[in-house]
Amino acid sequence: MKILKNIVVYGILGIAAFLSLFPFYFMFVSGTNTNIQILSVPPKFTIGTELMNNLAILTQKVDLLTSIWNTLFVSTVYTVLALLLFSAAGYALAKFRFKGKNLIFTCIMGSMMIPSLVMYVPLFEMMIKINMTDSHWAVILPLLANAFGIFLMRQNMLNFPTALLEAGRIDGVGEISMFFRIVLPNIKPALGALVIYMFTSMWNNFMWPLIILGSEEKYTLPIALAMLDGNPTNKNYAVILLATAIATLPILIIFLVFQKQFVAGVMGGAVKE
Amino acid sequence: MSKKFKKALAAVLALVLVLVLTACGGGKTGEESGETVLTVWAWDVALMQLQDAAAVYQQEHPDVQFVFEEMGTDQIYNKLSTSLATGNGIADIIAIEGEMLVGYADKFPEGFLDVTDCINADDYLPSKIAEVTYKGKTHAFPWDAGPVGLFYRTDYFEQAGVNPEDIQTWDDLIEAGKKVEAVCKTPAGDPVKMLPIRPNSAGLYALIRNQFGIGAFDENGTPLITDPRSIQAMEMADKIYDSGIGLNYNGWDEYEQTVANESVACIPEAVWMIGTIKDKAPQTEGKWAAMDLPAIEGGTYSCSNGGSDLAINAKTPFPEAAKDFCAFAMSDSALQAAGFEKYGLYPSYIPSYEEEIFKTGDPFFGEENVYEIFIENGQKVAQIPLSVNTQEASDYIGTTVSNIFLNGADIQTEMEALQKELETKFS
Amino acid sequence: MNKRTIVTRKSAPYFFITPVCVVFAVFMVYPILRSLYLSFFELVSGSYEFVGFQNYIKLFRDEVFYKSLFNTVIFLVVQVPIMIGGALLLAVAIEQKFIRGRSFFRTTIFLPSVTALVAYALVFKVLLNSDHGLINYVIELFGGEAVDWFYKEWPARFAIIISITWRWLGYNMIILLAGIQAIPSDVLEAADIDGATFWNKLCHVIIPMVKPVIIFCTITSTIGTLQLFDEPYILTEGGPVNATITLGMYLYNNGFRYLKFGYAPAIGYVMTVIIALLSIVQFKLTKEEDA
Repeated sequence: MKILKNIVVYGILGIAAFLSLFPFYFMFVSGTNTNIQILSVPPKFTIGTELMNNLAILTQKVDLLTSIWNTLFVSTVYTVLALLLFSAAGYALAKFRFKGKNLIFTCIMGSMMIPSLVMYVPLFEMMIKINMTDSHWAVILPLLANAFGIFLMRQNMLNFPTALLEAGRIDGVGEISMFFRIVLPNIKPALGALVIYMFTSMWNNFMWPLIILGSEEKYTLPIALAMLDGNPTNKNYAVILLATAIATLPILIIFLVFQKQFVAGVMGGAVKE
Repeated sequence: MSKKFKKALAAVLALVLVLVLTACGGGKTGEESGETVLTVWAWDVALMQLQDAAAVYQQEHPDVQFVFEEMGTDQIYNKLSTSLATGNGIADIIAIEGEMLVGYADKFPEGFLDVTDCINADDYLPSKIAEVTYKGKTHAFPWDAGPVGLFYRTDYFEQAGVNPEDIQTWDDLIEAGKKVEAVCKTPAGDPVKMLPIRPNSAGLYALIRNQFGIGAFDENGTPLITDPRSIQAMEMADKIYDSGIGLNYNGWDEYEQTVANESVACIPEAVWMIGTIKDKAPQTEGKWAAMDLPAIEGGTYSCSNGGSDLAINAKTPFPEAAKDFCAFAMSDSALQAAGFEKYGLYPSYIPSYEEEIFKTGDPFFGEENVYEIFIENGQKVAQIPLSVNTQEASDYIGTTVSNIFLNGADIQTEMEALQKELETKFS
Repeated sequence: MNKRTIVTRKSAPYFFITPVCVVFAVFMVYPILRSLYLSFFELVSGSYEFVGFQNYIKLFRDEVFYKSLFNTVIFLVVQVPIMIGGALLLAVAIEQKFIRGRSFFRTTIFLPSVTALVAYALVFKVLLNSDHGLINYVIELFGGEAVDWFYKEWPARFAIIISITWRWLGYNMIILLAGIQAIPSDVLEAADIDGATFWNKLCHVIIPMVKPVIIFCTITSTIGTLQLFDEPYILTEGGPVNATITLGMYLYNNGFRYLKFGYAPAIGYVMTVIIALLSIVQFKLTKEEDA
């Protein structure tokens, strides 16, 4: 009976893992195959010999290093700013009573419901007016208006023991240094979750960087990838898939590094003390 | 614990600082220096062709510099949609697919430079001139065209005992298709289908309708869905679909699959398909040929699909230089011929058909000159009136087509409903 | 008095919240108001013309809008429960005591949410191919009939549901896993001692304990599904017969393909109202249950 149960559970997990891994595997393997092998039915699912050819075409078409660097810059700055701003906001919303708190929180949550596509045209007009198009800051700043991240931090802060704060106040710790010295170090899992969430969302963001960035040397990866997909009548799938495989690697690394915190921090209840 | 965290925080902040500093120190372009620098947006093959043209152009005009930026087609449209209103953040010279041009010309009449004076209309295919002219203004230079012919597999035809010359009408095609499917097998062992059909798009219906020389709208913008010719086209398309000779495909990747896996014997498609066939099915060398499309009774025109134009941003600081370069690049016969040979961009500039390449053909497609039929058909494409609503109407038609093809809905009722819908929508 | 006390306990929250408020005011409030304003205009020949409520009136007569609303609601009511249920099942399975290689399973099942769209579109089209697809092969192996996935309305909807579930199941599983891990181990042990079966434990201990997490997943998935765009765009382009067109896709088509700069925001705001109503209903329902 017990063995049967074990087999069933392992079976379910095994199937789920296989199904999840398969397209991912296909992406990596296809980068080493030819277009014709990818298009045959069924496609070739084993590693081929075309990696260097595909890589040569890829590097000739796209300045991969520059766009990786750009994406890394934009995603890192965005994530760090989000960590600071959102944890501060979450802290204020969870641990203080002040005028307008409910109004602010409702407005922030409400903004989650508005489709972001609606806002791109006005945002772009605004960026032109303040002369900020084609800059990485124009990519980063508007996307900092992210309700989900703030919500995540507030939920985590709600569970933060108020006693710790009171003790700090009695010891004469200032409000600002309390935030940096006591609060932040104690919500690391939540910060880890926010890192993964923010970093991935910026790393994969397509529409807004596309609209706002104008010159090739500023392109982020998703835009560079769209460039590869440019010819409407003859597509090079091998190169596109190779490029996406390369673009996915950093995200995978971020997840592997932060996954413990991610699991713990996503839904609060993370403070150990 | 907290010390470690502080260290990590410090490291991250330091990293950000470095990133910020390096980003700010980025190179500055020499825009203020008084030089003529033309920025060009185009995709893949179009970009390469313009780069070739620029290299030749610079021999005579060494003072003009170029910045080439590769953009996907969707990328260009998303950018134009958000920024053409101001002209800010857009290149000086922009490649744009023919069917997309009218939308921008209508919504942003001042978005592109008027290039009427730079073009001798008689030198270009009439259908392409019609494509770039909207409300009395020439919004772009006509570039490559997409005259349509019927590509077919000579080996499959031979096996099935089909003589290509016997395929005169769409009905003949259906008959031949049944023979092919009965006899021929793909390399994977499946029966060979006659042609790929996309049941979710206007494709096949629009192709036959265009043979009558009409589009979705007349010159006043009135929908022509219930026009007898349009109904006849839909009936024929449905007959072809229902006969079962078609192979369903969903999206461009599956279209390329039908070529790569040799699963179809014919493809009614534009001349640029030559490049796709050579690229995705190199093993079929010598097995392809091209002929005219099967005819529909009463239809005297040919069709085109795809092709692009070259527009100039009206806010460019260098309008004269941009015009001069585009005029050169679009009307140099040798360059146009080379662009066709190298990148499959079939010119709409008529004098370029005198170049050698158009007389010799492509050995991949056998002895006979494969280009002949496209040169001939290019001149027979109707000048279909432009409408800003073409894109949206085409989506509506695609929905109606799928309802007729896949759900077996009644043609007359569906077409009347569509006519009414388009009338209210665009009134 | 040292300089630290410039920020007092009273002023501290304002200090912490102001940066976010500024960001929201500039990059959220302004664009919202501006596009709301634009929804009463339409771009005609290069200039915006005031059309009053015309865009909204048109919208309420627009059959494609209703169809996309219908599809979106179908995706919502079918897909969200399937996904949350599946994610919960997997999370519980991973937390079984005897499981080895937990982090392997956790990572692989999370992978789909970071897999690039192009790769996954290609793979799913191959898997769902009517004649040669693996999924039809399996169906036929069990004596079923091959399904015409992309050319029939309901199968096409299910193809979309399958692919969204594939993509986001692992993401939700990770979140639920956090909730399950937070359940004190003595609670589960007590249930074991009482001789509770697996299903008893799931229904009476685990689900009630992780309910807030489930609600959280449900709300974020609801918002995500209501704005659904990627899957129909790459897999079906909204077809056949508009069976898979969604509100998000219809909005994109109008704004970026048909260049209707007034109509598109009008769709967006009607969407917002619908999402808001649904969220309020969800909150109300969960509150009542708690009381």
